[in-house]
Amino acid sequence: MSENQNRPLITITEYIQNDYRITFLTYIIEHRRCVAYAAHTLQTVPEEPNMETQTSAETYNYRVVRQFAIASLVWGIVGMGLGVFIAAQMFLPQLNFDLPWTSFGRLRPLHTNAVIFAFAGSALFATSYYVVQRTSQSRLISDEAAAFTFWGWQAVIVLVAITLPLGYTTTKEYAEPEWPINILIAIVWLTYAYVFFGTIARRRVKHIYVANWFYGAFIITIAILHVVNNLAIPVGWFESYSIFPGTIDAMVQWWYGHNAVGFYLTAGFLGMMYYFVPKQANRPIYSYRLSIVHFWALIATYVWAGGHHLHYTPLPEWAQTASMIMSLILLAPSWGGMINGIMTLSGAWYKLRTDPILRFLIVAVSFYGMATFEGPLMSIRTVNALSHSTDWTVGHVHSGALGWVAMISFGALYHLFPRLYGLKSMFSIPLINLHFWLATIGVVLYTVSMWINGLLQGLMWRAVNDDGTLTYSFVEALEASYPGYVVRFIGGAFFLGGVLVMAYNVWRTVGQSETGALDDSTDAVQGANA
Amino acid sequence: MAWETLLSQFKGLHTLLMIALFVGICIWAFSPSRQRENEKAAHLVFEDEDMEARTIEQQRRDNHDE
Repeated sequence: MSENQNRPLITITEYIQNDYRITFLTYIIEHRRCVAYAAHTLQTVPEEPNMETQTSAETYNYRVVRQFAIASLVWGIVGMGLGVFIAAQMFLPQLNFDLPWTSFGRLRPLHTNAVIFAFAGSALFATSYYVVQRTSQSRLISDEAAAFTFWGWQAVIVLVAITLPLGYTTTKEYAEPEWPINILIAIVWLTYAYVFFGTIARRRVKHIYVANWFYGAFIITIAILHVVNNLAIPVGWFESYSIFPGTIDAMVQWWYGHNAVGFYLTAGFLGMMYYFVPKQANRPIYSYRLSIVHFWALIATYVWAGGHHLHYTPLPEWAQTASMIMSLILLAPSWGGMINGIMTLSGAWYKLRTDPILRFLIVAVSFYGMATFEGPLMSIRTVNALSHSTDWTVGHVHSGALGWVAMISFGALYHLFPRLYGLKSMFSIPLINLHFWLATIGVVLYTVSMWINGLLQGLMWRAVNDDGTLTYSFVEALEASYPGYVVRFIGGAFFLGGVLVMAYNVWRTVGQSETGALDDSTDAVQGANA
Repeated sequence: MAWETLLSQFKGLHTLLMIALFVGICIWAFSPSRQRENEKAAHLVFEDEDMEARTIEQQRRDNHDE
């Protein structure tokens, strides 16, 4: 459309520029062409407003974003609540209630699935739909398909929440749901890909913004990982056997598992970082060209790192070494991305003092830097010999999951909610600040207690007497871990408390909107809160 | 040539190709001719407010209608 409008203008400009060089004859020809173009333009003028209104009436689909944003918060409370509960089971085993459904073995996968797929997943859906619409300046390609992804995803979550406590599981970590649920996940995911890429296809800007590249890589890779890792032969409605044998099955599982970390919990949330950090700071990203290199380096390296979960196993040693080297190389793109996010604030650090939302985002990126330093360290085979199967791993995962994934989601959601409900700001800024400190104290207590426990367990397990017997029994190492478990529980409770504060704040914010804040007349009231 | 030899040669070439591709992307991203485009792309996040204003306006109208 815009090309057509511009053509006569360009011709007139060219006509003036060339004026001195052309002969009289060409002058007349050019002149005639110009007149013809001008006439054409004049003819099309009445059509113009029509075309304008057609496209400019387009609005964003905020409905599905609102649904996923609220769902993210609800599942966040459920998933983190479960986490705090099973953390208490570690030092109060009576909380297993001697029932199979409430035992640690069944609730632990429920916790991981709830926080990864229900909480973080809904946050990814919400923000990716929001970001892709805004940076493409176009509405989602289909409201119906988007609504299907919402209800489909919620159905998946409910089915998982029912089947896992009942004991139906594939036993593959982070891929526990059985095959009928996996098929539903695949259908919802392909619809998600259609909505996301379909929206990019109808974008009104030439360039595809870097956040969409990260979201896009996340959607494509998860589709592949999910399908391949869940290839299985069903032997009943809730029972199946993986088609891969032995060690290959383990390798496929950790190719899936680590790339779920790399693409689901990293690339997806980097998409969040690349939109919400510049937007909240009101400054463009520190280096756009670095973001391009960041993207390609990250996706090219991550896929090779999964083998580091299988050190000292029957997996061929070259495969272990290759995964270790690739994990070490990963430090470069990870830190490149972290620097890009944090340096966006360069020259505007003062904003961190007054804006708790920005503080959430920047602290999240800092935790990302810490976790991506710790990860390569733990992938070194000799370090892994100490850390493997200890609480160090649990601490590492949670510094990523709570510090990076959850914190950047909170920042993004606090940025989203007022905008989604047509308000100027959240109900209460001091409550955001309170949430920030509860979350930060929670993560620090959690990770520090798990580091101490991890080193303690690793050292006690490997201690041998002169005659070759073990110095400590397993129970002795477990008893020594109890103080750490209590501190971890307290840290988790702090973190959960923060989310409850957020839920109250969001509830009041949404309430403001429903009591007429969308009406112009109440702008003054909003202003008082801003 | 045996199938294994072909395969291993392909693997070697593939690795080189991927490295060349990555270096190419880096040079392209950092080339001075991209600078203006990069600048423009980085500002894309701030060009989404017109449609936002329309969306909120639409929500207001819907609210009034209810």
